[in-house]
Amino acid sequence: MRRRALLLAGLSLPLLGASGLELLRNRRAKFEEVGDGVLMTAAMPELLPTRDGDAMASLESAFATTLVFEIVVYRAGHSVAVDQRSRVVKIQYNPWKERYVVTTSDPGRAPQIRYYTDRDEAIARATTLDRVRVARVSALQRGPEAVYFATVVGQRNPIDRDLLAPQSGDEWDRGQGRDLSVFSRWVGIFVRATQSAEQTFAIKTVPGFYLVSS
Amino acid sequence: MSPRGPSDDDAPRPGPPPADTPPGDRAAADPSRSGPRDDLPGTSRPPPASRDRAEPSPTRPTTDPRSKPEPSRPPVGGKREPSRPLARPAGRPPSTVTPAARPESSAHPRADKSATDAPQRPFASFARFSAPDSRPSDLSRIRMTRIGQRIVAAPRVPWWGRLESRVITALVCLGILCVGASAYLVALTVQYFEGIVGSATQKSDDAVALSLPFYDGYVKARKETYRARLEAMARELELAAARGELAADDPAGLRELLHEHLRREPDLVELSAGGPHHALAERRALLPEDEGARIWVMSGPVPLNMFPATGPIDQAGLSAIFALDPALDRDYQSLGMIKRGLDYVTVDGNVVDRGELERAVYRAIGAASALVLMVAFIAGFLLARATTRKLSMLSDAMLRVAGGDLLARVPELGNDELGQLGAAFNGMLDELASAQRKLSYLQRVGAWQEMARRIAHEIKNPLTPIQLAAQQLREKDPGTDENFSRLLRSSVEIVEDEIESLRRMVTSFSRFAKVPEAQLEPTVVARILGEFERAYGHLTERESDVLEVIPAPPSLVILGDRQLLKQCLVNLVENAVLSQRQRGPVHVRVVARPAEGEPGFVELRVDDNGPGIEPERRERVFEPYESTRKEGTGLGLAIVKKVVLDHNGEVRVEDSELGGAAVVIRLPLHEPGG
Repeated sequence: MRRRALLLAGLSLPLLGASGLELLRNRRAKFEEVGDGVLMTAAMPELLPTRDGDAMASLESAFATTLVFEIVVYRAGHSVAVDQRSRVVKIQYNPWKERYVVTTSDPGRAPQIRYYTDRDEAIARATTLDRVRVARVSALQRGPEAVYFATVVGQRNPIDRDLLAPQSGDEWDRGQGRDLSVFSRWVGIFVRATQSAEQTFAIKTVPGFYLVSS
Repeated sequence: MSPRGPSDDDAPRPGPPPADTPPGDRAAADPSRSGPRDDLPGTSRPPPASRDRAEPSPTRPTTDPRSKPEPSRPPVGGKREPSRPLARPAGRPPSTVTPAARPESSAHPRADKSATDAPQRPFASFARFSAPDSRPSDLSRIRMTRIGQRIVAAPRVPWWGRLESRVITALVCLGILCVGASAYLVALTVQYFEGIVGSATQKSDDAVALSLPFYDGYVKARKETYRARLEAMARELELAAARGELAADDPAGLRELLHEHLRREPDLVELSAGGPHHALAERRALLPEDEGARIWVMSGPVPLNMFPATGPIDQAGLSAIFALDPALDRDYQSLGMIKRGLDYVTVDGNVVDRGELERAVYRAIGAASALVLMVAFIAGFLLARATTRKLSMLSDAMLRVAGGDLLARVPELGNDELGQLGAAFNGMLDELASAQRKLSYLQRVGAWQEMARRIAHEIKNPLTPIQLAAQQLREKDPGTDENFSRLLRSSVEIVEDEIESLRRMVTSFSRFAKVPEAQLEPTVVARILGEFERAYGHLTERESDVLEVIPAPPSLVILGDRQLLKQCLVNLVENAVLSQRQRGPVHVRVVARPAEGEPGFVELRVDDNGPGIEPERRERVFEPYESTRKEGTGLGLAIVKKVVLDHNGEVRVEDSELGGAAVVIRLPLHEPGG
């Protein structure tokens, strides 16, 4: 009996660990059907919290802070994405004009620039997906049986590899450099956590939405 | 050569003497039971060790206080046993040791005693271990340990106590120590350089942090500069109005002055005067604002007081827009990107922070060390096992030898030191077996010599009275009866012939019994052959018989007894003549030459054209009393072999080029100072 309990406990530990490592946070969102598009409004203030001293210092130092959102719409119970969009928001303090500039870029559309003299307003504007077109209505099914939800993965200041110190070069292709290259690959095997941005935050819209039948 | 009769084998393996060996020879055949025979003339054997087991001879009672008579075994038929001076002692239990595995020393009566009473001689104690001789696998479970002068059996040591395990453990520990030390040094190195890099990174961060206020100060200073320039332009406008160059109701003139400033200031985009007389001058080439190409910086308004008397324009102001080169801002943004990248590195295509990289390096070094350790363990295990297996095989062979199995040999162990040790050990055992064979043979010959001496002594004494009696019978014949006289003469002749035959046999026995010990001295082989040829040049009385003595090189010098070696040649040649004389012409060749392929040895070779000797009999012909001829005593070749062994040599029989047999005597050359 005790052995069985231990076995069950051992088998359930990975499941408990997996559940604890849920990366998507549930977040309420507002969906609107406008024309052929579904617009979503959701806020992700965790991506650039005002309590993050380093982030605020960087922002007030006139360094541009870039927020990248990857928006994917799924139908509930399915793992294939229905639609996928991206948005890039850039927030920067302009010391010459003493105002915050929020530039929103959507693929295929001209950037939208807004100016704010208040930092928190600028941050709220930058971290909020306001009426973002996330899917085409024609690609969705109507009716309550077809429930959809969206996942948003936001990244603050994605790391540009071009700006990192290069680790491979001509000197790594011969002689001892080849050994260094092999050693680098060997070390790479044991890297457990990789970084792609300063901050990553992901949400899942809960509850989902469905298109009302006409 | 003379064909010989059967004899006991001459194999290196000790065993019981043959059935046709005289009883005393059985005891004498045992090398361990050899003892001094001080009753033999000219013998100088080691101190006695076995005289107590020999029956006291009635004709030569022993004086050894250790010897005791055996009253429980009276002579058969109440007669004495003069021909059994070295007979097996009575009451000795039969040996349970197989002859092939047990040396003859096991026949020693003291070997039958308990282990604590074992004789303290090299091979006498081996007799106690009979089982391991024929069952080598049992030796893997026991270990022979020498305690003082005794060898006792002990349980085999456990695996962790064996040399192989210890060596492997030592190698593994050494490998762990080396790899651990290396890993620790690498970890220290990583920490050291990580500290250096971290310090450099921190300095870079600090430098970037220090540069931020400078940019802010630059922005403020630039703004102040713009404002100062704008104020200077306002003052110029005021001066122009004061000099009357600008009328209060002349907005075109004001606009012209503003354009004049616009032309003088290349980075000025727009200059406007506010108030009742509004005027604007702008540079169309810099319109509109494009933050990618230029940055507009607005300055003002600054007070503009041109016409204080007129009133309305007094409250006017002058403002301007300056165009700023965005290169500085782009560089500043690049600085920010670099600042963000200071804490990250790229490893195998992945971006990781430096802390994770350090941990990954530790994990990689640990895994590499584990791999190296595993490889070192396997290599060390194989290497140590290869070496210790040789030691184990060597040890097992030595234990088997120590247990009495003199036939045990070390397998081929390679060409390293252990292999050489094994080969040397095998060579030592071969030499030991050879010496044992030699000793056994000499003891057998010695026993035969003793028997021959006693027989000669016992027979020779009554011969003369018998001969005298026979002569008296012939002389006292009255001659009255012709028939009786004829019968008497015939009988006396028969008796005298037999007496003569016995006398010759006695003489032969005496010669065999009185073979002296070799007196070794440097001797030139050529001289031996020369003296032999002079003394024995006439082979026979027949002209057809040929003795061919080939002169030897004068450089061949041996350590030998010249007379005995000549006697050997005489015996060999006589044997050859006797074996061929009845068949036809005799051809004997005597030659001495260096041994082929064996530097340091010389071969004395006697070839004949006789019937030869079958290969299976070539070892037995050297046994005493082995002869196929009626008139032969079988002692000639035995004397030859004894003399040769006394010279530390060897003798063998081969096929001869002359068609018969060839007796080859191999003797070591004398090395002066060697």
